Amino acid sequence: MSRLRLTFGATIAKDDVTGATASALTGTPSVAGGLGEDPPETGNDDCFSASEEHQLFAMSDGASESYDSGRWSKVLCRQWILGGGVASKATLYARIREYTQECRPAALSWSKQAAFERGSYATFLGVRKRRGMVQVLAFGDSLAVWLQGDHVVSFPYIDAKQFDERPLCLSTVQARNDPALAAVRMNFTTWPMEPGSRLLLMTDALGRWLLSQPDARLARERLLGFLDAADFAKFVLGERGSGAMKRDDTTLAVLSFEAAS
Amino acid sequence: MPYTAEISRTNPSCFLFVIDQSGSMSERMDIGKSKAEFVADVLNKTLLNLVIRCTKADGCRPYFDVGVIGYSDTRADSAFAGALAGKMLVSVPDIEASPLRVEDRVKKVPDGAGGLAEQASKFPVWFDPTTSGGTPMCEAFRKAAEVLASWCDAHPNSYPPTVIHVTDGQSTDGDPEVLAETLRKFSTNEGTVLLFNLHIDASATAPVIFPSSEAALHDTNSKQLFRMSSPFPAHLVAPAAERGYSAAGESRFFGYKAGYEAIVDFFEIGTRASEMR
Repeated sequence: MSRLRLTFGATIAKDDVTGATASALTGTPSVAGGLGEDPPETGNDDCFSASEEHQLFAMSDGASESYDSGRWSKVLCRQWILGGGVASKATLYARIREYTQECRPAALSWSKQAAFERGSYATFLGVRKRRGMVQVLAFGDSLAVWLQGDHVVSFPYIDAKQFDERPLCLSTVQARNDPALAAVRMNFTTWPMEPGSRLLLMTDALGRWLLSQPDARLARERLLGFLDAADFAKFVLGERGSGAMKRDDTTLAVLSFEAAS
Repeated sequence: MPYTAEISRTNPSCFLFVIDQSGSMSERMDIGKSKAEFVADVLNKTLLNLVIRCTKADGCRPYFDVGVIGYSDTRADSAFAGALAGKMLVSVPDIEASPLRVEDRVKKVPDGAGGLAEQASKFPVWFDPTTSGGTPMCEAFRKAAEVLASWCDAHPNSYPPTVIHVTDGQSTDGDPEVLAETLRKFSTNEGTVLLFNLHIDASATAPVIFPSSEAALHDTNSKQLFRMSSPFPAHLVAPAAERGYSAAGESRFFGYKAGYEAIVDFFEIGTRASEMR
């Protein structure tokens, strides 16, 4: 029996040009700065939350053009961990209620109320253990990649061109989740938990970059070789600068399958 | 690649609406409103949508500069009123802060059971319809050029300005074609100014939307407006398709004899621009 452990994780905001907003992700229950705490104001709408103890991990990328996607992605990640990795229509609707409660729409100005009604949107990757396997639930264009030696599988996309399509995000407007909920059975994949394997979770800028690299092995090795958040930031800033990576919030988590002691 | 620049607070883009307010705009459409009333409604809704797109939990962000030029009689000038009166271009947060009034309206929303339910909503109004005299289109394009020349100089790395021109007639102060051509040549490093022309009609019989050649048009006025319009930008083909329009490679962003549905669609597709960051 093996366990998943977060061996590297870092994030950097889209508007960062110096690496000042780069920070490390942790494998204890956390949402950016810490569960239940507001992350430092960096303008980064990506979110990662994890509980190694309960073998639950979540990543979400809030859509830039929505009212409060940072809060929405945080609610989605937090509740995946606190709710024991349960995915259902009822839990999604409960998360929408929680988000609505936090936003207090009745107290908002007309413009914020209108923007609130338009909704917030976020991708979601949820990772959990089931019957000795690792299950990944995916909505939208955040990418999970499973590595075992030379064997590589990515989910939900396998081709960089798929990032050009409009992603099926989770919305705070209940009715707009119907297409995502209808496809929920299609949005799961399962991989074996073999010691030595790795599971990479990343938001779309990095996912698109990875799937479009001509030398896939070299690209994967690059993602597995970061020393710390500063090293990750240097890489992202370099790729953004050369035009090889989209200027967007960028997050990477590397989970390693290790033999349980 | 032109028209791919992301729109940000550092590099905002610009929408300039040029609205015919001549006497003929008071003609009633089949929905019971005059052309001027309906265009004012769509323009207010478009501004509301821009405000919504720019509004995040921490406030309204300056992703766009917006202007409205109204033209009638023999003059063209800013059509902003109230606190924005006389201003040719203002940032979206200024628009958010200065509606003339906020009306309580009722809108229909999906009720979750396949039907529609009525929901109270706030509808801010920045423009009231007004109509008078002739159609000084040349003067309107001269004014637009004046405004956009300095905007392009000040924003070299921005997604270029989009001009949405709405008229129901022909110019009464000369030939606007050369002026439109000049306007379309203004540019930032990210592309030339986009000029979208919409001709509206009370009867809306046989509208022609996003035609690919002059052959689909039958009079000199429509052919001229076709030539004055920008080629259909590739990144707006998908938003147009979502609304049921097929825009081919040769299509121009031009609508002729548009009725109320096409007017709404034209504004909606024309203000998509690029991705905001």
